[in-house]
Parts: sequence; C-alpha cells; structure tokens
Amino acid sequence: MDQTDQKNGNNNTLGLRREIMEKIKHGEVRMRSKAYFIWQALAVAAAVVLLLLLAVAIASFLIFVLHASGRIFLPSFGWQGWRLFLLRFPWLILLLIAALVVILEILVKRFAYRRPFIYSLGSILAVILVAGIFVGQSSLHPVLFNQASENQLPLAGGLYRYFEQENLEEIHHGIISNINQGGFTLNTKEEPYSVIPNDQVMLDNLYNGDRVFVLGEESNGQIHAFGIKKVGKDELFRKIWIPGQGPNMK
Amino acid sequence: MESLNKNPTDEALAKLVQNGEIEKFGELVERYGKKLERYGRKFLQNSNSLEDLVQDVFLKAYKNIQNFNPDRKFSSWIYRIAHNEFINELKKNSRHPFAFIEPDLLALHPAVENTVSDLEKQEMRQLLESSLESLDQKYREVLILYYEEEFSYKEISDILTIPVATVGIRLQRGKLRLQEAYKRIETYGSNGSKKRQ
Repeated sequence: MDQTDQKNGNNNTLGLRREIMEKIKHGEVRMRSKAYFIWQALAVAAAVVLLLLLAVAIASFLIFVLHASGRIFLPSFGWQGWRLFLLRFPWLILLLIAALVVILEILVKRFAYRRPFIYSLGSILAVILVAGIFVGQSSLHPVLFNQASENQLPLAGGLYRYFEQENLEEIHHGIISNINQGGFTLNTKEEPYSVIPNDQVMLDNLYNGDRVFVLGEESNGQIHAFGIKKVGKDELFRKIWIPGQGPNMK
Repeated sequence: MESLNKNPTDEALAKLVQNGEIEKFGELVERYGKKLERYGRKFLQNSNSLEDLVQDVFLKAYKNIQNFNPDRKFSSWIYRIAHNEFINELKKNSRHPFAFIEPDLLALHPAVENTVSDLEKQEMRQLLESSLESLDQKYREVLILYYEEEFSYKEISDILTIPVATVGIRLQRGKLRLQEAYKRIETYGSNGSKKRQ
C-alpha cells in the first residue's frame, strides 16, 4: 500500500467515524439498556427450562402409553412382534419430541457453541430420556389417566382418552379364565374371547385370574395368539389400567 | 486507571462506552473501520454496498454494546456482528439455500492449534489472494479469519459460533481445497482453458 492509499484509507475511516457519531448524537440509533439483555437471557433460559419440562412430560407419556397399551412387549415376540411394534408405534408423539429437541438445541447452541454439536444434543436427549423414564414409571400418568377417564382433567384429558379408546387390533388386555390345554378365555372390557395359542406359546405359568396382554389377530371371537405377556403385581407395569376399571394400583 | 491510559485496550474503551462515554465509540470505529472493510471485501468478493454494511455493523455494535462482556475480546465480538451482517448480505444475493447443519459440526476431536510460520502465512495469503473465489464460503471464512485477520481457533469459534474442533477441520480442508484450486488455476487458467507450456 503506498502513501496515497494509506491517506485515503485514513480519510475514509475518519469519515466513517464522523458519520456514525453524528447518527448516534442525533438519536438515529439508541443503545439498548443492560436490563434488555438480562431479560432476554432470562427469557431464553426460561424457554429452555419450559421446553425441557414439556419434552420430559411428553417422553414420559410416550413411555406410559407404550407400557399401558402393551406395545412395549411386541418386540420380544420375534419379527412379527417387531413389525407390529413399528406399525403401531405412536410416531406422532416421537415426532413432537424430536421437534422440541431441535428447538432446544437451537436455543442451547446460543451459549454452548464451542463444544461439538453432538455433546449438547446428547445431553438434551439424555436428560429427556432419563427424566422421561423416571416420570414414566411413577404413578403420575396412571393418576392423570384416571382423572381423564372421569372427565376431571381439563387440559390433557383428551389425549389420555384418545389412547384409552384406540383400538389396537392385535393387542388385547384382559383376565384369564377357563384355562385348559388348548387355550383359555380372555375377559376383556368389550367381550370374552377364546384364545388359541400357536405352537411357540407356552401356557405353563398362566393361571385363572392372571392379567395378561395377548398378541394376535382376532376373528369370530377367537384370538390366534403368537405371544402372551403376563402382567405381574410387582412389575413396572403394575400401575397399568385394567380396561374399564382405570389404573390398577395394586 | 484505564480511562487515564493514553492507549486503552478495545475492551477498556467498550467499557467506557457502556458507562456513558459515547465519544469513545468513535475511537473503536477508527480502530476497526479499515479491518472490517478489508474482511468484508474478502468475504463478499463483490459488493457495492460494503461501506454501508460496515456502517451498519458499527451501528449494531453501538446498539448492543451493553451485551458485550469486557472480560472477553472486543475484536471477536465485533467480527461476529460483521460476519452475521455479511452472511445476511450473501443470503440476500444468493439463490442457493444455506445449510442448516453441516456434517463437520459433529466433529468430536479436539482441534490442536499448530504454530504456523510467517513463511507459511505469507504463502497462504498469496494463495488466498489468487484462488479465494473458487472456495466454498464455509472454508473461505475460516481461512480469511485465520491467515488474514490472524485470529486464534477459539476466537474464530466465537466469531462464527461453531465448535473449535470444526474450525480446525474447516481450516485443514480449506487449505487443501485452496491448494487444489491454485494448481487448477496454474494449469488451466482462471477461464478453464489449458495454459500453453
């Protein structure tokens, strides 16, 4: 750069300084107060907390629905179970959680951009998953479900009732009676069905009065079962509602 | 005291502006006016409105100066504002959508900042001068900030709001692409026709 260029450059900068300072002095641009930025940061932090709570609530609801509907047992019954699990999975709820995770990641990245994207995303997913499982296993959702059944839950009541009333053709809940070598009767909230298990299904540990999820298609009052899952008293899903009776808190 | 210092740091000046000495903002404009213009010229390649853009950068900086933390570097902060302003300008003039998530943002390995010799810097500056246009914007920006503006990886991470590891990866890839582009230009010329030996 020769001397003339340098001189021109200096003149340009001085001109720029003059123009900017004039705009500032004439009030064309005003400095935002410190309080503005503090409130902005607080608003973002509050949004992160609220969205995280919402995501945890929805994730725990998803876990509750998977357990309560019996979908969770499907993958343990081979490829047929997996196919049904993927087919009947409440994808919309998962999509909603994914959308919340994306929004959370965008907000968190404002402060935590220095570390790789995968760290913040991993942390968000871990918090949602751990807290979701924890809340999903608590008695919160069965209690809310009960309130929703009695029309005492104004906001999310419809959501619980939707999943109570949804008809999963291949999953049947009920109580066993008339057990014999060829099968048993399953008393459900709609009507009793005659359950005929296939060759791979063992009836050894099943007794009259047991609560079970029976997996298989129903036709003419008969269910051809490819899987039966007993719902034990001490198991995680002990708080699952019995259709027509509300949550069973035994 | 900083205010009595004849040559206060940028951060000290910014603090004085925050405390109401708005005249001091003029000094910051003087210090960064030429630098931001040079950065903008390299970054945008062709822009008739560069002077207006730089003016907007300073006006935005003044408007938001209370958001600046004087414990951090003022240069990174004002370059970040400039970078956002220039990106918006590019978006306005570009028909191609900007990627929301780049795969290199997933980089996990910590970036190790090597010491670069003056000779290498000089060479890279010459390469940048001749082949900058042929580079993707994401490589162009890190190369300019590292070799031309002499920012560290961490400072570039602050300016571009991307992980430090990604800065390292883009710099490495950018250098390779720049060398390839230079070789191509040497062999075929800038218009694509093969040069006579």
